[in-house]
Amino acid sequence: MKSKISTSTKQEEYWSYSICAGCYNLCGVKIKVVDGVPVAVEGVPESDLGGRGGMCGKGVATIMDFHDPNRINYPVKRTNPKKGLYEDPKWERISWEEALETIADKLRTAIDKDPRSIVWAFTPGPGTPFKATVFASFFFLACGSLNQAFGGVGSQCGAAAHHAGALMHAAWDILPDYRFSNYVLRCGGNEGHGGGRMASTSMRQAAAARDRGMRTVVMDPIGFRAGADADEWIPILPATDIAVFLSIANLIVHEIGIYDKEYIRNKTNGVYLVGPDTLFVRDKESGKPLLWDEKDNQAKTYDDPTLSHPALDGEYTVNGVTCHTGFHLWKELIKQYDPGWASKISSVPEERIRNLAKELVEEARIGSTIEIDGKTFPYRPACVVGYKGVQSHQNSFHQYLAMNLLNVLLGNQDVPGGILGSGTVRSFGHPESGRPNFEPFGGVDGMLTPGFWHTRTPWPPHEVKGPGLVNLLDVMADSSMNPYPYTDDFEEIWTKAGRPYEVEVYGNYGGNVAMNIVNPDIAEKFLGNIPFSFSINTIHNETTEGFADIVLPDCHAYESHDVASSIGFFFNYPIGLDKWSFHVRMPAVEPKFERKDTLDLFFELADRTGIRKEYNTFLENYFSGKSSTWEQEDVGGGEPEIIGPDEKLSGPEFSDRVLKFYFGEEKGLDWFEENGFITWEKKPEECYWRYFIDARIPMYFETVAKNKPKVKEICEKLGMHMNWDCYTPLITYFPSVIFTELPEDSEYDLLGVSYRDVLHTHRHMLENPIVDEMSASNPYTYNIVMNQEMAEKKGIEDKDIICVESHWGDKVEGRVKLSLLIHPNVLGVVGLGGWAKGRPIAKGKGVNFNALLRSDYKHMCPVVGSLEIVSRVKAYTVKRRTEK
Amino acid sequence: MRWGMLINLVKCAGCYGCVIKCKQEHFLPPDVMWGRLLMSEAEGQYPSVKKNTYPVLCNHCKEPVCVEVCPTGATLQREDGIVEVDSDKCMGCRYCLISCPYQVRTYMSSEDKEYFPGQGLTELEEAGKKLYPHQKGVVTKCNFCLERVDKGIKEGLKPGQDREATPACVNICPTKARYFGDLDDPDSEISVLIREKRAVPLHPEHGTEPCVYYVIG
Repeated sequence: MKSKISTSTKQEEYWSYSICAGCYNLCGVKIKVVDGVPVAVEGVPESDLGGRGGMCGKGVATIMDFHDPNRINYPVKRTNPKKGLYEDPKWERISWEEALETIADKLRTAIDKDPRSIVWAFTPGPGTPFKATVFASFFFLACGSLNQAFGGVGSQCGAAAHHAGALMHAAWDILPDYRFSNYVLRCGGNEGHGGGRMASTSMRQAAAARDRGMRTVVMDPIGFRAGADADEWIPILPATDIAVFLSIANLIVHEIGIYDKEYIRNKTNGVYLVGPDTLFVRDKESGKPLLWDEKDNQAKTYDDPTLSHPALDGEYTVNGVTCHTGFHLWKELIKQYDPGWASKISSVPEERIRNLAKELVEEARIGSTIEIDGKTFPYRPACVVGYKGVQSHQNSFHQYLAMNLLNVLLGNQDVPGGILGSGTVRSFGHPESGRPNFEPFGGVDGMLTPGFWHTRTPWPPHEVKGPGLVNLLDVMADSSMNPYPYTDDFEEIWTKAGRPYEVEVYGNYGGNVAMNIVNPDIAEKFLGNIPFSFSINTIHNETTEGFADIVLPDCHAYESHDVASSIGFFFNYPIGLDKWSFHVRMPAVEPKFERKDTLDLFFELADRTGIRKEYNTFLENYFSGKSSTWEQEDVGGGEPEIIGPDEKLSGPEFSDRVLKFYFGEEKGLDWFEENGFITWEKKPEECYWRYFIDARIPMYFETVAKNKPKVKEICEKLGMHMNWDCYTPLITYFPSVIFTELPEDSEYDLLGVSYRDVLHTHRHMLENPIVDEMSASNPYTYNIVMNQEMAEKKGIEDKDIICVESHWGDKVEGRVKLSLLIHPNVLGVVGLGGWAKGRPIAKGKGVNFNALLRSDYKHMCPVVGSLEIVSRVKAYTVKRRTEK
Repeated sequence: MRWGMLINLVKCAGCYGCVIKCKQEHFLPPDVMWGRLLMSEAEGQYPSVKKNTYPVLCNHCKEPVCVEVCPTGATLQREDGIVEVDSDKCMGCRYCLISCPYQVRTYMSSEDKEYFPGQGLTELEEAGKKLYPHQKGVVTKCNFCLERVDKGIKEGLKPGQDREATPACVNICPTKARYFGDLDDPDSEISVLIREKRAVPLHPEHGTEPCVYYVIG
């Protein structure tokens, strides 16, 4: 590439196109290289993937990561046989030959014994997201192991959000359609304000919307992030959003009476008939769910071509049983959720809840349409959006879906002004090649099914079986991720399961599992017992130092070829009507020392392990669009379009093949090196696809009811006595365990919450000295934020050192920042802290909030597996920090 | 001709892009920032409390106190309004630093600070010494990226419109909150926006007529 704009005769200077390494959102960037040294990074003005030339602070700071003298340059092995937190690994440099052969030998032995004994983890973290979820995951899948133990963002990732994103939008996540939105109720998230999804793309879009007058109401325990940019901040107790959502639903359906009935009728399963056994009443011959056609006054299957007017509610007799529509049942259920009740639970004033319902309905303009490019679309310029703060709780399935059901009532999903699946889940492809081409479709029971997906197939849920995986995902059919095996009770559960096998090898790509996922002491219980661990990282951290036997030096994103980060719609296709903008990660400079590029590394390891054919097949299936998910057993053969089973390609050659497959022979890697990226107009029916795809979304979660008996039977045997009432197909109020595990008048009167700071992606950026400099000047980032009035009651003063102690006796300490922009009962902490020798800048900075969390079945959502990330704590002043 | 900047706080998301880009553009050493993000919580009754986040930089005041107090003539105002420091003339007395009502000047200490203390200068820092050398023992501050402005104009570009001629902090802002242009031209985009959005400078009561304006949300 290297669009060589030489501006000086003294230096060789060029700009190199790549993809940002600051978080997992993959904005397109240009890197300036002078005399072989990357010196600057900025956005690409002509691209809609990112800030149109702009970049957020942490993205700009990534140049400093590149130059970190603490980066890993050679393979190393541990010489201290003792593993554990705070241990010094006493690294010793070894050759690639020794490193790879040792790893391959361990893998081969494990594969022969039981491939499931290989447990693997990754983080979709800075600069690595799709190398992780594609290159690394496929390697371990090719070893025959589906035993992924989520690393990095792990338990705090989107167990409920991605589940709901898939079912509701065929997408990984959701974002408002800022281009047309007039009103956003934002709950527990910071996207569009520097954090979270689509990073600079959504910041740019949200800013333009605010500037033209879009109203933002932020309902969040914390008011100094998105709340500070909003028109209004409504403080709420954590994990109680569900009460407000269900109460708003009640007001909309039963008091205001204006909601998008046609949307529910034609685009949801709320009109499927439900029998007394809580399952759908199905056609006796075809087994398909039945609906009641009001026009012909008879039951018909959902795909009956004569079906014209499905009944929304009412009681019917079909197949000899009395039945109701799913919507009817939910409508009846939510009558109990009045705003006075919700107010007592959430601390949001009753009147404000009533007004939120009115505002949403008024602003959504239900029934209105808008014309774009000569096509007419429903126009719904209002939505509710949320993320971590809504979904990372023990009641998250019901809480997160309750939020989604508000959008269903408004009929605003994937239509102009409403809420969109992110990035864009329907693509007609580049005008010249017709690729990439994917779109959602109506799958089993007519339900929305993503046309492209990485990780495990989201719909239909797999059969309940097991336990055969340490992550228990085989048992929990509606969960895509959960805290297992990093839990307090894993050993006990595994023993009760008869210990089907012992974990022999732990392979980790990127990330810092010991710190990022749960309380480090709990992570240690699992990681400390594994005979052999290897890790691929750019820099050491608490996990590699504590537990890895061998660490391989990965390339930094800016010295790497990575076409995986270009494919898929998860964070890398611009959302809404923004143009398609397809970037490729290409090296600005060649890697130094003995760093090896990720795909080359996995190719070599695949050869040595004897799984090259399997690995190539996964890559072929994914990149050619034959099958994108992790389960590929049923993918047929056929001529390879990108890579043959035994073919040996280098990483750049592989990028070249993929690019040519997508854009034609003329547009391979050379073309992208020269031109940087490719962009083309998006058609409105691509981003506003909802009424162009014949598929329905769930309002009634039948599979949850269907899976309940078997999940319950297995889990009870394992000693996991969860609240099985949560396995109801109707979205229902359930309080989080944080409100039930201690008496109301407990001395642990505060709720500790962790939030994402604008400059920090997980813990990665903490090692960046420029980010550190900024963070030190930020009054919130490194401190524990506490409500000023609450602090006065406790005799705590601004800048005091306080100890935050959980009711299990876990403690963290830090300096307090008093604020009026936080709920009185809440302490806000960015999850930081650390002690690794390999990260000297990060050492001792900030507070490790995760140390206050407990991880076990009691603190996990029984349905989707989200870990509760709020902890009941007390706070008191101490003289000085004493923690390690 | 008077160069000025407008920062629309309705759009600003407080991401630090401008502050960090400025450091990168000018290879500023540790602890030296030409731009900053100031944050405070204004008085108010919970929960109706406003948080102020102000990206600040040298205001390139029309009536700059720093120019008045400089005993050596090192701080000077160009005809286009940009206030710059001639490092060769600066003797590091720091009168300007004290007199600046906005506290946006920094003393460049004589130490050679490393971003990774004790680990030596990185290739990036070494490159910076050649590409954008800083004199030690002098006062330093934002110069409205005058190198970009001057070079751009020479090449027939228009600062504020053409990226190559526009200050780096304006280019990098992912929310497009920053605008740069000629305050003396009533028809320039910046002048129009200042009027339309009723933008105001920070603390006009200091009487220095700052050329950085803010749209307050």
